[in-house]
Amino acid sequence: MLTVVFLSLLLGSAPNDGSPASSSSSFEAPPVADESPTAWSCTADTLRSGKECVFEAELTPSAANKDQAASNVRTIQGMGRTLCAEAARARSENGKADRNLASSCEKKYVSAAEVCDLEGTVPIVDAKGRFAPAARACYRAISGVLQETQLMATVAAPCCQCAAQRGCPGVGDRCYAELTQQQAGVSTLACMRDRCSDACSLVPSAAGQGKSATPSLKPEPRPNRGSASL
Amino acid sequence: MKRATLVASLKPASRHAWALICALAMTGCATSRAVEEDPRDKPSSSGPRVTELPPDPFNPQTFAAQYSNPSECERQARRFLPISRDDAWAALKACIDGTPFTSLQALMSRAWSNELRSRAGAAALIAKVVAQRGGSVEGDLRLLNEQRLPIFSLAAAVAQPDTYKGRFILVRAQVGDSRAEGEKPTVWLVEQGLGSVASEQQVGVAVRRDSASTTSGNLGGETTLGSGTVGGSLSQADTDRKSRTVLRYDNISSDTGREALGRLAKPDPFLAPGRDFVILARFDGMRTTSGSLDADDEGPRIPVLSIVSYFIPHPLVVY
Repeated sequence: MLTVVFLSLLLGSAPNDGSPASSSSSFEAPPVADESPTAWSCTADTLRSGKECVFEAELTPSAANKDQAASNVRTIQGMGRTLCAEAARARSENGKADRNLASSCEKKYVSAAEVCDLEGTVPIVDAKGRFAPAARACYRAISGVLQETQLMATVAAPCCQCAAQRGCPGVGDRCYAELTQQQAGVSTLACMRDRCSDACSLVPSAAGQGKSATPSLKPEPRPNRGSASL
Repeated sequence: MKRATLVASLKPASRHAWALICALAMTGCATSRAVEEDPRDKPSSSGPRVTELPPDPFNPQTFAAQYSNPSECERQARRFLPISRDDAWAALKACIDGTPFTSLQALMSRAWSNELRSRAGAAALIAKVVAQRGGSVEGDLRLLNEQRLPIFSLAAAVAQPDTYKGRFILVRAQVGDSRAEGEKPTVWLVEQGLGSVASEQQVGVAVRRDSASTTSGNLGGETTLGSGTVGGSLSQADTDRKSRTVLRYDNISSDTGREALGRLAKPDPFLAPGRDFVILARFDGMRTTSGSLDADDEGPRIPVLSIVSYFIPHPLVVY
């Protein structure tokens, strides 16, 4: 009897006993995960800057369809012109993009964007421009093209522009690639040194590649040898 | 007489019921439980004395200010449990906020078990105690998990993301970079492990004695081969040092190699780079990063957390 009274008091008092209702931050509450994107999402901005990011987007997967696949490729290719122009701008005169470099970038970009269809299962970016988790390979491919272009713009663009204007051999698209990879020919490097020494200050000398463009006229300074007497 | 006044002033009707239960417990069941349990696990062995009942209205800060000893503060807060769980919980929080409270065992005792499991701020309260104990997260998580309190390590969450998704994570970490999307920033966290390094430290007075001596001379003479002189010198230097040293251990934190993204509800200038924090967070799962692996690979993954609260760990560690 006493037990019954005890239990009834306990149960009866429960709603008003001051015990907290289990809120979402109590241990009794079921686990809650926030699936929404963070501030580190991969976007066109992170493509431009080359900063680290995470693949997260607010998307709903759907059945594979060709329209979505084509749309994904179009979306990425549509960004190419702007991104390539920006990547080709570094260090060029008056802040203008190097047209040769931008054009070369766009060609490579279009080729890289072919892997961006994601088989049409999901949009490549969400409404806020965040790349889908499945878009990593695509992102890496186009990011590689842009970073290579930025490197060329920084290291090679002023030199290649000058070399083209001064009639040096080995100019055009191959000039950017060969200078960046330190594979420019001897005659090209010699011409650049003679005619574009300022614009080509970042370019490694031919001697640095182990094949001297012109023989050095000045003898190498020799270390002093001998003995001294006190 | 004072007791009657207090009971009459209690707000909800249930307090009468609790008072009655308390009375029943005091007459009937308390003695049989006390035999087999740690006395610390019971709300009160003798029930609250008249002077120990929470005044109405109860001011937790005033209550905690009476106690310089954290254990005594917690013990007195526990005495309020049979009368008012709200007041008891408020008193406990004030003890932890107002005194250097480090007794995780007392907090995890059976007396507080219901409160810890049902109260909204319980996980943050535990995180604060862990920080006040020096922030040895790995060791303290072991104690918490032994009591089946569901707070887990970042390592466990990374190893089994599906199991730990949405659960509480406790991590000692430093803030790296930060980015904001609107008003909601996300910080890059670098997990820190706590270790110790030993060094010898001098105790008392050290005595050092240096001495140097030089002896020189010449010897001249004549032999059948001719005459000559031989000269020379002898130098001697001694250093004698006497000191007493003791071996000391200093706590050091170092990168564990694990990193995470931590979401904040709003910008917080106090969560600054360059110092350790004990961070309580919800585990939101893993994300693929743009990292440096090949484009064809799945890519490195990073855990994402929603930061609930954080505390600066005390430099001294309680074991």
